[in-house]
Order: sequence, then C-alpha cells, then structure tokens
Amino acid sequence: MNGAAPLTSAIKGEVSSVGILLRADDALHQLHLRAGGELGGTLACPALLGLTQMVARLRMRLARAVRVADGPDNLELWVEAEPFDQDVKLSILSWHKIGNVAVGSKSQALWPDQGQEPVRLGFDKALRLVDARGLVEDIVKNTDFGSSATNILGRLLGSDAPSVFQNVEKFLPISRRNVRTLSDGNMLVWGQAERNSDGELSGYTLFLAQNEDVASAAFTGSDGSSSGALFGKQLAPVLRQPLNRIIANAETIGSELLGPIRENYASYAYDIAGAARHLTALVEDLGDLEAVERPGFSTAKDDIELGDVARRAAGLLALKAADHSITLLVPDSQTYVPATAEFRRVLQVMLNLITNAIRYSPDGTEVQVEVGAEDGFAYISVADQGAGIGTEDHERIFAKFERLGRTGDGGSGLGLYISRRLARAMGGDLTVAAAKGGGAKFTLRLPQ
Amino acid sequence: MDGLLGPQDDLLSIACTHARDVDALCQDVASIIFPSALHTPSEATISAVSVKLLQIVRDIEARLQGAAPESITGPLLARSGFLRETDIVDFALARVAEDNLMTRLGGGFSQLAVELLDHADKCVSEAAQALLAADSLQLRSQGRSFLTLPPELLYKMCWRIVAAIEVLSGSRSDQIINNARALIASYDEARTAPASARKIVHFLHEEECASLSNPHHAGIHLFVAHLSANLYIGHDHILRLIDFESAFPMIVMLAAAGLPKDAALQAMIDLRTQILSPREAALFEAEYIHFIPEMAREQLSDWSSARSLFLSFGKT
Repeated sequence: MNGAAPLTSAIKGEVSSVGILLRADDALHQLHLRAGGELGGTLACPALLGLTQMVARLRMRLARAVRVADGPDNLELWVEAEPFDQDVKLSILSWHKIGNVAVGSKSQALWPDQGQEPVRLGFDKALRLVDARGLVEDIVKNTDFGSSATNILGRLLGSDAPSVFQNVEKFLPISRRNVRTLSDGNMLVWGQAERNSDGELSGYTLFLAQNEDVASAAFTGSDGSSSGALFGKQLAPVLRQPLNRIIANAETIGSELLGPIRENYASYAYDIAGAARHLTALVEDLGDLEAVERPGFSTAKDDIELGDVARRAAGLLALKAADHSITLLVPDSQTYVPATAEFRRVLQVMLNLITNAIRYSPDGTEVQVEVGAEDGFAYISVADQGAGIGTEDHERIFAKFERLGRTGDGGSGLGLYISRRLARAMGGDLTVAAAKGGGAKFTLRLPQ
Repeated sequence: MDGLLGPQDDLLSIACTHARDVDALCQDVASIIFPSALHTPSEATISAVSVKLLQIVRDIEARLQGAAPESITGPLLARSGFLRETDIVDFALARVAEDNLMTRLGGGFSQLAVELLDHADKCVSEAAQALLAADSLQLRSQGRSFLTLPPELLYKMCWRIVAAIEVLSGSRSDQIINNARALIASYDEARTAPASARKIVHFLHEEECASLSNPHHAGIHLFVAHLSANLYIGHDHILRLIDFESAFPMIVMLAAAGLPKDAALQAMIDLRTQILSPREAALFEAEYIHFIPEMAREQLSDWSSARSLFLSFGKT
C-alpha cells in the first residue's frame, strides 16, 4: 500500500525506560534533533517515545507502523521495539515520507540517498583507524591504518578538523554537518560511538560523503564568505527546532497515537500544528529576507503557468478567506499563461499578496486574482475591495518594515519588500495601483 | 389477523405490506441522512462474547497454573465487572465479528499470504509467514486464544487473573507470578495476525495491492489491514463495521477507500452474502457510485471519534 522501501539495514536506537535517547543511528539521531531533541535528552518524537514507553511499561515486544512529523513532512516508519534490560531497543525497518499537502514546496531530502554509499571509517577505542569501507581511495592511504583520528581528520578537513575531533575524542555523536576540506571542497560528516555487546565503548565510526549541494546553497555570499548570513545560517535553525517540536507533539496529539481524546481537542491540536507550520514559514521568510538582500542573489528559471499558481495559492488560503466570508475569484482551469520564473518564489509572492488582500478587506467582499499577458510580460494580479492605498504610498509600501501606520494585524512589514525583491530577481516587477471600484490591485509581472 | 376473514383480512394484509415498504423506505432514507454505526448486540453476540472471554481467561489460567476443565477466576472476574470493561468487551465483539467474517470466507488460510511467502522483499515474506502461523495458532490450536489479545489487554488480563488467583487461593505464588512474566515476555506483537497483515500492507508496493481488496483471496486480516492503512481507522473497528447488522457502514467504508463498484460488490458478496438483504443490495446498486469519497471519509472519521470517546470511558 505504502510501497515503503525496506532499508538496507535497520535503523537502530536505544531508549531508556524514562525516554532518554541513549544511542541512535544517524538517521534516527537526526530526526530526534530536527524534532527539537538534544543530545542525552528525551526522545523528541512523541509517537516513537509513546511506543518505547509502552514497551518499557508492558515489557513486551511491539511492532507497529508509526507516523512522525518531520518538519513540514510526515514520515511513516515500520518500527519494532523490544525491552532490553531496563531500556528499550528500537529497530526501524522502513522510512517512508508521506506528503503534507499544506506545505509541499520547501521539502528537502532529509534522508540520505540510499544509493550513495558514504565512506565509513572505523576507529578503535584508542581512536586509531582500523577499518575503512566505501570509495576510500581518495581519502585513506594504506599507511593511515593504525594512525590516530587526529592525523587523518587534520589531513582531510583542515581548519574544520578540531570541531569534528572534539566529538570523536569524547565519543559523542556528530550530527550530519557540512565541513570544508583542505582542498576547498565540501564534505558531509557524521558519526557515533560504537559499543560492544556488554554496552562498553569499543570505538567510533565516522561517515564521510561528498556534499555537492553546498556550492549552490544560498548562504554563502558572492565573495564566498558567509559573513552577514546570521539569521538564515545561525538563528533560523535554532528557531526551527522548538517549532518542529511543537508540530511533532501537536500532530501526535491530533492523531491520538497515545490514546483517544475528545474530537474537538484533536482539532485544536491540528490547529496548533498548522500555526507552528506558519511560524516555521515565517522563520524561513526571514531567512529569505537575508537571502534577497545578498549581492548576486538569483532565482531558478522554471517554466510555470500563472493560472496554476493562482489556483494553488488560492487553494492554500481558502480556509482563511472563508473565515472572513471573503470570496476568492481565480482564473478557471482553461486559462493558460506561461511564464519563466521560479515556481516556489512566485507561489510565495502570491501567498503574500492574497494574504494581505484577505487581511485588509472587509468581511464578505471579493478578492479577484487575474492572469494575462501584455508587452511581452506575463502578469498575475490580486485586486481587493478594501480601503485601497493612496497614490503617494504606492512606492513607500514596498519599503522594508513599512506598515503605513498599521499595527496589531499580524503583519511584519517585510512581505511586500521581499516580494518585490523576488519579482525583480526573476526579471519582473511588482507594482500596485488602485483597483476598479476602490481597493488595491497588486500586479506581478514576469518574463514569458 | 388470524381471526379476521374476508375484506378486512385483505385490507389489513395490504396495509401491512405497505407499512413494511414505508418502514423500509424510511430506514433507507434515515440511514443515508443519519448514518449510524452503533447498535445493540444481539443475544447470540452477547453469548459469543461471554464464551470468548471465558475461553481467554481459561487459556491464560492454564499458562499460569496448569490446565483445568473450568475457568477458576472467570466467575470472580465477571462478578467484579472486569469482563464488562469497555475495551475488553470491544475486543471480544471484534473477535466475534472476525469469526463471523472468517466463517463467511470459508475459514481457510489466506491464499495471498501463501503467495507472498516467495516475495522478493524479506520483510513481506517474513510477515506472510508470521500471518499464516498466527492464523493457524489462532484457528486450529487449543489453548492459545490469548494470542489474539493486543499487548495492553494481555498485560491487563494476565495480571488481573494473577490477582484473582491470589484472592481465591488466599496466598501469593511466586511460581504464578514468574509464569505471568514469562507469558508476557514471550509475547511478540509482530507475530500477531493484525500486525503481520499490517506489515505486509506497509511494505507492499502500490501495484501489488490490487488483490488486497479481494477478501476471498487476501483473507480477512489482509483485507482489513489494507483498509485500516488507507482509512486510518483501527483494525477492530473495521471488523465491526463490516459485520454490522446493516450493510450501510461497509458501503460507506468501501466508498471512502475509493474501491471501484465491481470490487466493492465482490467484497460485499464475500463478506455479507448470507446477511445481505435485497433492500441493501438495491441500495448498494443505486447509490454506491454517488458516494463522494471525501464525505464518506468524513463520516468514517465521525464514527471513529465517537468510538474513541466511547472506549476512553472504559479505560482503567
């Protein structure tokens, strides 16, 4: 039914009877961190935690399909758990991403490609290299066997070596992270301590894989430095963690995985998850702000259809509009207006424009989304029946943090600024004019 | 009417026929406007539930302190109200429904599970083996009825029986406590029929799932596990909806799962042929294609919530 591909080897983990994640293979450890967990902390995926606690309480082997939230996505895992001394051993036999219709465009490949075998270096308890698997020719020399991890990492990783070695030396797990190699390339590194059957430390396993995506990542400036990328690179992950934890918990409560609850409570839980997802989106937008202001910022050139974008954006905001009895009028499915722009960015602009239209229109009015082409440009416009924007403010409204004196309506004054920057980065523009019969009409123009 | 003669008799007969038609029509309309999945079990069902629970109690007792011709703690547990707790009765009702459905399918093993023994994916082939074993132990082995219990209920029943034995014997037996621990430790959910069926469904690819919609070929566990994965409702709930006195809940469920009409009809015939009334068949024929899957899912979700609420009152 799910077509869940079995993993080549089960993802293992150990959880104490009180829910502390004692040990985990990298994928589980990463999931735990993404859900807001900490090293040596309580397992942060509530559904998995619930299962392990049931095993710990009943002292029985359980086997279940478990759903966990992973950022904007949901995962379905086949998990088998068994009591082991006072702890619980987890085996995840499949790892299957199931879509989340609310937020689909920003998903990333969070689980490493099973087809790409990382290099695996095994160190003994004294941290000497004793084993190397995978395509190791460019990484390990024969003379490296028996050498200390310090030497090998220093030779491979240059200035980033100490940060990696600090964890290896203390036998602490290393989350998947990008490091610069001495040859100015990029490499993904992760690892964990190994234990023997008696639970004693027996060594350390370090995984290395090429990270080709980094070259196109949005966080480095045109000069190759990362200076100024404070929010996207440093603050956003910190903010995302607690939000992901809220999402995970709310989804679990809503799914009644830990037991039945009243139906309206489940509904509230989904509302909480939805709100947290919106906040996550806001965090990402602040990251976007940083990105659009960076010199050399560019967008992809996708072949898109504006009617489709309009319908998708309206679909995502249909409930919000319905709350205010606002009717969203969108182009019918026969409309075909091609444009060349990055789909995700255009959708982002449209969501911003329609959200604003709903926010500043009286209840019971209409918001009209139209698409078309003129002067070699495709356009998509959003017209509302609100109070409108004075001519003198038509430029001012696109300024950063400009609210035109409004407060307390949930806006940040960044949306239109980012939207215009995005429009211009895609070779188009975003303008505003008076709509027929009052109200404001925002028009996004894009190259055809 | 026996005492009436002549025109009055005819008149009453005609009136009765009309009344039955109107009643049937009202029931059809009501079941569409106010669909319900709650009903009062029949005497036969209540009796079957009682027999099943006492059987489980006796089988657990035998594991704890050796076999006896009659259940020792059963009457005490029944008097104390333990065997009437909501989750236990719900479990037993589902098992009775399962027995009914298996009987209607001919009582044999799952042909599809046999085929899956040779599946390339080890997870599927091992789960198929576990399913066949669980079915055999459940159906054909004496003294293992407790294998059908979900883990929480086995744990609860096991320790409650230990306590009842202590009350009746007036002393605590380490041997019995150790036997209870061993029984619980030997439990493996992956080896139960619902879990192994669910595992097969989890690992099968979309293109391999067609035969899961055919209960005659897939067997009841795989058929139900497929619906459960599709509709996100519990295995036991589905069993009870299928074996419901009216066909309406099953029709709603099949529509929610998006089964084409032919496959849905085949499933109805396989699982309800003895109890499908001509009126229900006509209702299915006329209405099935008009069901909107989203609305059917919403209806199922309502039933599922109501059931969860009902069961939560029975938690101890």
